Amino acid sequence: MALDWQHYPADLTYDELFAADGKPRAAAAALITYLQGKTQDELEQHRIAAELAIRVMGISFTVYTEGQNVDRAWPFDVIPRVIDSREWAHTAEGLRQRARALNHFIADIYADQRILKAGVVPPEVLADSVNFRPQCVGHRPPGDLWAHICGSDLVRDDSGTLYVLEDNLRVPSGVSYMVENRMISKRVFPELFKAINILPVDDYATQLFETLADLSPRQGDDPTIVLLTPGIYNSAYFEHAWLAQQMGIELVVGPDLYVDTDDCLYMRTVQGATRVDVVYRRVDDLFIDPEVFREDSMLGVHGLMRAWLKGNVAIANAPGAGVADDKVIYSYVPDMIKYYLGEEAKLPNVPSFRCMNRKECDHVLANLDSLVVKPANESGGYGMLIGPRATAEERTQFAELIRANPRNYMAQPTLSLSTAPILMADGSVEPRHLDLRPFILSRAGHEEVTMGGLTRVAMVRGSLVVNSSQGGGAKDTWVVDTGGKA
Amino acid sequence: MLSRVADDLYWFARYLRRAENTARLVSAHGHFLLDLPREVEVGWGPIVAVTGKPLLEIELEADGGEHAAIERLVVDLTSPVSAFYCIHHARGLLRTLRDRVPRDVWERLNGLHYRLQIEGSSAHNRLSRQRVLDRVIDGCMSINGLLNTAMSRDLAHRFLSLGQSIEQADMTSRIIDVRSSPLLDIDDATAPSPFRNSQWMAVLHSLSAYHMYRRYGRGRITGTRVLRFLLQNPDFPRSMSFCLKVARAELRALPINDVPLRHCERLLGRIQDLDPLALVTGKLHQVMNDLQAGLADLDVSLTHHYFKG
Repeated sequence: MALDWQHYPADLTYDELFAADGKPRAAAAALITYLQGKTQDELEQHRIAAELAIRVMGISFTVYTEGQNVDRAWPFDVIPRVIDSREWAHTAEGLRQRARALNHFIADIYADQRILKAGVVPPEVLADSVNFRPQCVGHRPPGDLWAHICGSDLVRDDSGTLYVLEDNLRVPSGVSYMVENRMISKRVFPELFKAINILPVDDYATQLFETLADLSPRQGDDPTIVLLTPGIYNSAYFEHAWLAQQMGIELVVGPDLYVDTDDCLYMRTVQGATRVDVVYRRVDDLFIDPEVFREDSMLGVHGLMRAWLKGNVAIANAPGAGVADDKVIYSYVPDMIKYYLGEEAKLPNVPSFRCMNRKECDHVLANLDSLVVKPANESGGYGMLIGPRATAEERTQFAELIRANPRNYMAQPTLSLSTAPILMADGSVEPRHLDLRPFILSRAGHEEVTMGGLTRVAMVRGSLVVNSSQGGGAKDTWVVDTGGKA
Repeated sequence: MLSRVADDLYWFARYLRRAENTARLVSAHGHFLLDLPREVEVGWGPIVAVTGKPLLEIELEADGGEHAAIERLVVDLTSPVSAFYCIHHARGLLRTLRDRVPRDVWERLNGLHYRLQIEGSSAHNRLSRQRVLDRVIDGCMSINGLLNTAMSRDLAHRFLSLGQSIEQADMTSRIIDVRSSPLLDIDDATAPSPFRNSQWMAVLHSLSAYHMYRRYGRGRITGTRVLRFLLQNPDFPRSMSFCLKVARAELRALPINDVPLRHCERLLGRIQDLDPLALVTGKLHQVMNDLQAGLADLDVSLTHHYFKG
């Protein structure tokens, strides 16, 4: 028996593969036809093949539970999410614009703070930001670039509008899964890659390497670049190792490095000390240098900030770049785009209420049952309230949290996130909510955007939480060139 | 290469080699026990003893210490001499070394790890024990095969090779040492003929050395000849001399190698000067202990020179 799409509910909200009338969207038509031609048995074989590939390839992420780390296999759904290449071209343009404005903003914040003086962003937002690093004020990294790597989360609501939900500028992760997901689907659907023009995603590592190499403080074409990881117990360790391998650079932990009396950074090798030019750090900046930030950090390197401030080593993303990662500052990004670039934002923000603003705060408190409330500086989907899903008690608790520290909260309407079908163990298909995390690399004069990005799926029916640490999974993301004109 | 990475590569190779040798030792000892006459009560004590643990507590048990020995040498993840512990820790190290070795190595070790998680405890059952031990041996051998055939002879490979050869030299000396157990003090001259020298055959089997010894020895298996073969033979890859020559060649190709190289050469000289005939008559345990101490010194000098950075 073939896959039964007749009973697939494509009209719960916007579905990525089907229009509301149940017809496949143009970019997904060839995929749906292919899947319809498969028997339930064959589909089950595909699903098993994907699971096997994941296990054998060792794709995993680490979850910290009850005192021990558990490596979980990556939950992956075989049915890809499909995006028309024309829509993607527009989206990528919007992401480039956004990354440009964010870099202007960070550079400005650590220099003249023109945007505060101009009254576009209120100074108190900055004063209370936990990710603002006074130690970075006055420093100018090469090209005035601070956020070299940005992962922005996109969501689509029931009207089909694609919004930017948040920007991750500290240590965004997920890009390795994007590339590995593609490798899995090539193993599972080799025929489809011949039949459909699916744009490739695998040049990310090369571009990242070039982005990092540009930053070297020493002339010459063979800079020493390292990836600084918190270590094997970090949830993104798989990705750290994967990226280092793809780029052919050293994967290091804090104790591998030291800053000598010449204020240069070195790594300990079997040949002796080797000077390091660029650090791609995947350690939060509070932990990178116990001399300057948290004294108890075991993950960082004594003197790293000294070496960076002297210009002897480049760090990506630059320390302090997380100031723009704040969810309250996020709400000002469209204003930044206008202020720095003189343009209108090409991608809209999700409408946001800032609790620091008295009127908006009252609105949030009065409408807790319909809003999503987020703390300004949490990641991984933690510490937030999904109003419609919360109990009255949870809402009361949250109201108190907001009143105690309004600056730390912002709220957004609960979007009806778009869905795409996933293949169930019994061979049926069901819709699940999803988002999309593309990655933007900023180099002097231009930005590179990944082709699509990492699609994260809430594997639990009805759930809106896509984070891998909380039951989320992933799909391959196909940007498909249907040959139509833009 | 990072000092930490060199250290991890070295220990990854040591754990892998230790797991394989331990599995062989347990397998060969099991076969050996089956062949012994009933009145000879040997039990599992001697092979537990060579891993550095006293055998007193387990030799008293009714099953000859079988359950306790399998637990300690094969299954127990908290016992640093068990085969599963070694596989588990080799995998733990390999997680940080994935960018250093061919991708297949990770896939294979991961596969072995998962399979042992599922069927590992069946090692306690005599009927299925051999299958589990074969899994360990086959798994380690296929990873060795990949490292030897699909990996560039770069610095990473040199540290792997150092780990393999030093661990093998250590395991060879320990497996020889099984023979020095008082429980195994069967007089070769007076033992009934089918059992004569059978302990020496078990030693050869534990080191996968039986067939190569046969080609070399041509004829009787005697303690002296087995010792000469396992200590000094220049061609058999698990003999101590052979292992230390490999280590020496790797060290010669490394930077700042003076101290470790000196340790290695001194130890090699001592092994080549040993008189196997004198060893069979009593000093065996003492001499094997000394050689293990020499290997430990070599290990310390590597740590000091390359791994601490």
